[in-house]
Amino acid sequence: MKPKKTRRASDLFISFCFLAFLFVGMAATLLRNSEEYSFFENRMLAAMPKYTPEGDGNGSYVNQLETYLSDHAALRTTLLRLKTKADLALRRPVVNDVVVGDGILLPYLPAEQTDEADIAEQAVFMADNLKGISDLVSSCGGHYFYVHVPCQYACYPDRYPWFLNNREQISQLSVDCLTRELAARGVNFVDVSIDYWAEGRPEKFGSIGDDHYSMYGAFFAYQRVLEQVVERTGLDIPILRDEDVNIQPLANPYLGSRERKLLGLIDLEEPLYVLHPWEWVPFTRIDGGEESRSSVYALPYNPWDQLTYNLYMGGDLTESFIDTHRPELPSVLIYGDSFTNAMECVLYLSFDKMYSLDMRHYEGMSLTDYIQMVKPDVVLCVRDTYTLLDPSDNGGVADAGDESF
Amino acid sequence: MVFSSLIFLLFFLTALYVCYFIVPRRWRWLRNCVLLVFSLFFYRCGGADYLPLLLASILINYFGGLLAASERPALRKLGLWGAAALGLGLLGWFKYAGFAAENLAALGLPVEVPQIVLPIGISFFTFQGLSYVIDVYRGDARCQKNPLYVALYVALFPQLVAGPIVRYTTVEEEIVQRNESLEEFSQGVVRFLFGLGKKMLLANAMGEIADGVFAQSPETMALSLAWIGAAAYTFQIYFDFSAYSDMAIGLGRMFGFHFLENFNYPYISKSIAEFWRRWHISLASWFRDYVYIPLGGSRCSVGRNVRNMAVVWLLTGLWHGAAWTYVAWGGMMLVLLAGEKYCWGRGLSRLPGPVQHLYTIVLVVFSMVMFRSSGIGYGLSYFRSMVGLGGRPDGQAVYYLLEYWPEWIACVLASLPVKVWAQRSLERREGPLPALTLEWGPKIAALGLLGLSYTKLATGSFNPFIYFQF
Repeated sequence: MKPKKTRRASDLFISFCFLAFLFVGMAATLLRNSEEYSFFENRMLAAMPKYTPEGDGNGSYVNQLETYLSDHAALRTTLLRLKTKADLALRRPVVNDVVVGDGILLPYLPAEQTDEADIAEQAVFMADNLKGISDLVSSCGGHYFYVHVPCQYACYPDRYPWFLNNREQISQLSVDCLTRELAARGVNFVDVSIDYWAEGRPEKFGSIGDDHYSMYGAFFAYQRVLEQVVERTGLDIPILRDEDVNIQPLANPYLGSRERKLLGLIDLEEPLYVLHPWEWVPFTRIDGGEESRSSVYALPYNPWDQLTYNLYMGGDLTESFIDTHRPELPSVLIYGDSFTNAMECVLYLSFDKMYSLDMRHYEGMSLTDYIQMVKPDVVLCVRDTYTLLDPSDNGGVADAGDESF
Repeated sequence: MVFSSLIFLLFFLTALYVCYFIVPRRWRWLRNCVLLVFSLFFYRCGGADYLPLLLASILINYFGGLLAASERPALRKLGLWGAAALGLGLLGWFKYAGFAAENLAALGLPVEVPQIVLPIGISFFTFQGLSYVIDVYRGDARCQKNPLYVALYVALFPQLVAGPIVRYTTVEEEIVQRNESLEEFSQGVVRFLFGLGKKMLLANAMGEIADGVFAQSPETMALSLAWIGAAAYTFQIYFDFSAYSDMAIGLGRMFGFHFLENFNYPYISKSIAEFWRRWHISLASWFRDYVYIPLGGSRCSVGRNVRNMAVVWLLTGLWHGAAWTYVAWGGMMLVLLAGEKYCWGRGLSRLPGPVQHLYTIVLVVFSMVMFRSSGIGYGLSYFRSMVGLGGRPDGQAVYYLLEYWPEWIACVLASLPVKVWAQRSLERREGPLPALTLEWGPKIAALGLLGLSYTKLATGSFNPFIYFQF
């Protein structure tokens, strides 16, 4: 081909490809079925912004439109998968905020300075807050326990590469400060991580692909918490022992939250476990005011269906109530983030009634009002290491200023 | 709206192509109208509230130009000084009033600090419009009587919000008569896509590192991390701004305009003076032609020359932003340039080439730290960390190197004239393969960059343009 012809051909080629990309991209974006939720990112996608003269005036409307388009771009999920695959192939230590370790996926924790004074101050604030809730529970005739369970990074601090933050110092400092402050105020505190360490940090308690503990870890936490409750309150609560239950893995593939962030491109082949008591306890269950199936597991229909941590209690529900119709036993209210879910799958077996709240989503009434309404014998607040000193949502700070305290 | 956005690529640009190229070439005025309407719409997308400001700037420069071309000296002066006072007055109010009030208030004066939002691109279009009036006043450019053409010159969307600062004489002819062709269009596409790739793949990645490092306290920052952060920002600002210039030049080419180059591999410079001949050329030449030379330039005594340089660098610093860090950055540049001119320049030129390169890049990196810092105190503390007086290493530097290793390598390579070397090497070789590579290589690479950039656009949200704030 002569140089002039070659040039013309290449000019035509690039111009055609570029224009085709723009026009096809526009058409594909306009004609695409609009999705509201991104499963792999576990978040709602941006909604089409509403036009407002103010937004038009300051330019925010166009910015929101760009966010919307980015979230709804043609081939987005495919491209996300390709990008993740490429990042893994390039052996970046952190991909999609997941630390890709040897046989484990951990959360990326940005570098931070350990500010001892700040942590101590947070612990004081948190302890004051919890003291208020504890007093309220006592005034209603119950017993309050604040429970710390280790999240994934606290279970495996030594699995981080040396150059990445594992928050070990901050975690330890947070627990120490809170332990001291709660003890000074007489608030019951159960630090399950101490027992984890005493057991030699068994790998089976945590998860290599998810932030939460495994069913083994949840069962262990349940036992330690109830032992403390019984010891400090004298309540007659039956505690299930290892020989009372059967913990079995499900055959379905499990997609942990870290694997999910990597779009399932790394499969750690970690199973999800279910716990069943040898002695069956019938119960009725009400979720958000409506009666639902009498089960604590959202079991899949097919053996090939992918599982997530939502298996336990069906995920983060705003309000659940389980009644085992055994009035001789005490009642319990458990609230907290998603770490409560797996524990609830065994906790109900030890109580007459189990109330469960997730204050991140529950809007029915304040925690104060709820406690005064149901007057539970035991109130458990379960927080993981990351949220231990976080007063928002399940930390109950909204109630801290309540006059009833 | 930024060039590296889906709304620009998939909607604005496609609509513009259709509306522009559907008009027959002989109806030039209509094509210009289409370009102007789209340019104004482009600016409006950044905030409709600011559009009247752009229109006011166009009117100021249009009437300023008419007066500056008058045969009566008094009117000419009125045109020049009137346009300068009004244009710079608007710039001063929107950009510097808050800063001035803050400083007066800090001195204890009873001044209320106004909350003024900086309109996008005001520094660029103000300087661009002013250059037109000055050129007309000097007789270097013909007065444009058609307001549409002045409006198109000031508001032409490729260079409207982040430069380069295009001189009227550069596009004077092309506004009235230009030749859009397949060759020009394809060259524009390649240039645009290389700019898009630089922005999306390099500048944004370096920006993530720089943001991560500069968010930390410099007092406890390790030497290695401080250098990683400073190097990342040095790369970010170059690839961000030069990418925008590439895209602007490429877009102009698609529509038949030929803007001058704004960057010429500045990081291979052997002195700070050379750096400024290669960095943001349109701004440096603007200050040279409209401030430095009229003040007397270098054809005067040493003291006067240093004063002239001081004025230029004070203004250059302030042009970049209303903050003392920019003034300090300008001051650093003044010291280095005056030093090279009157103290160590001759000695520097006798040193081996690699030492000269090292000298320049180290000083540029230091200067960029002050440019990026949130305050002078922060910048000075950061300098302390860069010389090893900060904290102990904590592994972050290793993380940033390992996490972004492909980008670091690409940044180093893209800072060097690798493209020029490869081109020359291929041109020296005979046979069909080098010729084909020369012809097809950049185009295939540009399409690859488009694919990667689209992937980044669709999957990421980290996409701020640095030069919009100026």
